[in-house]
Amino acid sequence: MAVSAEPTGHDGASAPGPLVPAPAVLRATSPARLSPTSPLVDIAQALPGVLVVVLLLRSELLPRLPLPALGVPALLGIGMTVVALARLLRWWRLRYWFDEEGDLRLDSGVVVREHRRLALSRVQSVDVGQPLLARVIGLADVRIEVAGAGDTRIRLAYLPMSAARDLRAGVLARAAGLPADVGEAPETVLHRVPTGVLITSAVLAAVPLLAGLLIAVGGLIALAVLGNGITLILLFTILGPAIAAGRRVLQWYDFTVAQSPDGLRLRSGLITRSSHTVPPGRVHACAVSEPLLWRARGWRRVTMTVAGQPGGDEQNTPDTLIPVADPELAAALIGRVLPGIDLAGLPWQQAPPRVRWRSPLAARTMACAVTDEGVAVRAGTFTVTTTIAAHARCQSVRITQGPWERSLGLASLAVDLTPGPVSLHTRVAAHLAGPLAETLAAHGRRARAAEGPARWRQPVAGGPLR
Amino acid sequence: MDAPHAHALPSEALPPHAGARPCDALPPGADWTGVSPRLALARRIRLCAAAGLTAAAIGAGLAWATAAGAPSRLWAILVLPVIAVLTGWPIIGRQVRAWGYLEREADLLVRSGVLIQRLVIVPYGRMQMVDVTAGPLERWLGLATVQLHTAAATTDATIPGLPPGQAAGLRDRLAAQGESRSAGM
Repeated sequence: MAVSAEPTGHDGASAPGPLVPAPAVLRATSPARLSPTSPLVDIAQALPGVLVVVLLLRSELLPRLPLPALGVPALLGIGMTVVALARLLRWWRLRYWFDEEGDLRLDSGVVVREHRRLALSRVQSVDVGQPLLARVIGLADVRIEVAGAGDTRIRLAYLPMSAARDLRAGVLARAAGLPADVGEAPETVLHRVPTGVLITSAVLAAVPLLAGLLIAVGGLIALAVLGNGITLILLFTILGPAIAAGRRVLQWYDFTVAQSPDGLRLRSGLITRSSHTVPPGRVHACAVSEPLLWRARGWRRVTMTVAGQPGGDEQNTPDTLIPVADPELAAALIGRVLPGIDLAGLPWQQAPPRVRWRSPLAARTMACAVTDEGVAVRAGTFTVTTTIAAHARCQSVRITQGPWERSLGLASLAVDLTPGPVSLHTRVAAHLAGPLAETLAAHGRRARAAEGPARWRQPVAGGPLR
Repeated sequence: MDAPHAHALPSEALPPHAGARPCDALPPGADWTGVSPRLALARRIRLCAAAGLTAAAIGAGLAWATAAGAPSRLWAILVLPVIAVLTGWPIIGRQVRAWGYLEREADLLVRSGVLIQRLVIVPYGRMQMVDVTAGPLERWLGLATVQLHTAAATTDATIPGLPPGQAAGLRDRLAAQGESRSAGM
């Protein structure tokens, strides 16, 4: 499990020499529609639900209604036709294109017309997903997320797989400030998670939950009279963790990390395939967690915060950098998404032992580290979690001190990050909190001043922007 | 900017061993700007109103209960809202005195809280929005609240109880600073 190769240049084949392209040609494209079969896919996906409702209605309600024999199929047919027509209209009205300024435009809406413009210089991630049905007939959806408040995500469903790839390449080329016809960037596969490792890790991760449930259920059974339903109860108890483990395997099956000049590509999924592209410098923070039962094997999981819409449907946000990795791989990947951060060589400063009176579970490993590039905190007894953020991405620094902390000579230090799965806070000796916060503020100032351009491949006139 | 309301916190507010109370001690000897004492009045009015309403509701309930035959010593419950007002009154005073902000070269510091002390450092380059709000009670007393927003939802930088002129001045300075220093996400 090691990072195998360095990425090759984007234009390694076409233009030798430095990676600075000629002045970007942001070519506009003519409006395009989605695949004409996409209404059918939508309808087909809703079909099982409709059937269930219909069957329920049939057995419960319909016998009491005075309807002619052909009434049910006829009503159903009319309903389906109406829905299909509506879908078709929506498909007809939805058109997307790139404008001359290199932004993505989207026209949609049947009754209420909607025009949207996505500033591609602020793209956070581009995902290509393939739900089962779409995958069978070779379609894919494209999700584009830009930074900013409000509705910053669009989903284009569905496109033929090749068109989806082209769209992604076009978005990323424009976001990078490259000529729009540069095509898809080459990629180097860094790592593939072996299926055996994934399954073992998923099972091991589910064991504590299972044990906890079994103890709870065992207590219940011991309390209650030993009756007949025990096997059923036990079955249901095992079912929960088993489903959790199964979902992990399905979701992260064949998890592949690849490096391309457009950023990191993350692909995974057994039934629903998804592919995320995270452009360079878009990762704000990472969290490395080491569950108790993974420790013997040295495995860890890395999640990350990419700026974009908070919450949302979890499966579609690229919040997992790697579902299971050994220490070297985890460190190498974090070094890629948070440049300059060396996970193995962080200068940890252990929190004072008295921290255990305030946070008993987290105290054993509680520590923080500040380097020139970022800040890291660590905590946890059973699952040890290390959180790392780049200084340039920290939003604000907070110190709080409650009465109990005050009497122990402690203070809480938190770094505010954009919403996501990663949060960064720890407890330190009270007299260190102030200097630490000042250090972080100073580092943040310096890091922001040294920020690169938003279009990361565009030649920069006169040094870094702003 | 009406200066009379912008009073610096007295330096003796700093504890003897400053390191143990980081929210007071940072940065040492700085000239914090406090909030208007009228904020205490606003909060006390709100406290009394809440206590009064609670008392009225309890009273109505008790009147009905005693009419139904409950013992009259239940009326002693009414002492609770009174206690709430008596304890809340001085706490509000201390809280309002503890609130302060400090405009530095590259960031804004906001501190607050007595029992649970807070200090937040917001770099100007990270501000996305500055809100100035004033509810009816605040308007009547001539107060406004300035709130800073960054891309993080957890940033809690609120400065209540500023005279409107001072609040607007602060907002404009912050907006200007934010514009000149803003960085990408």
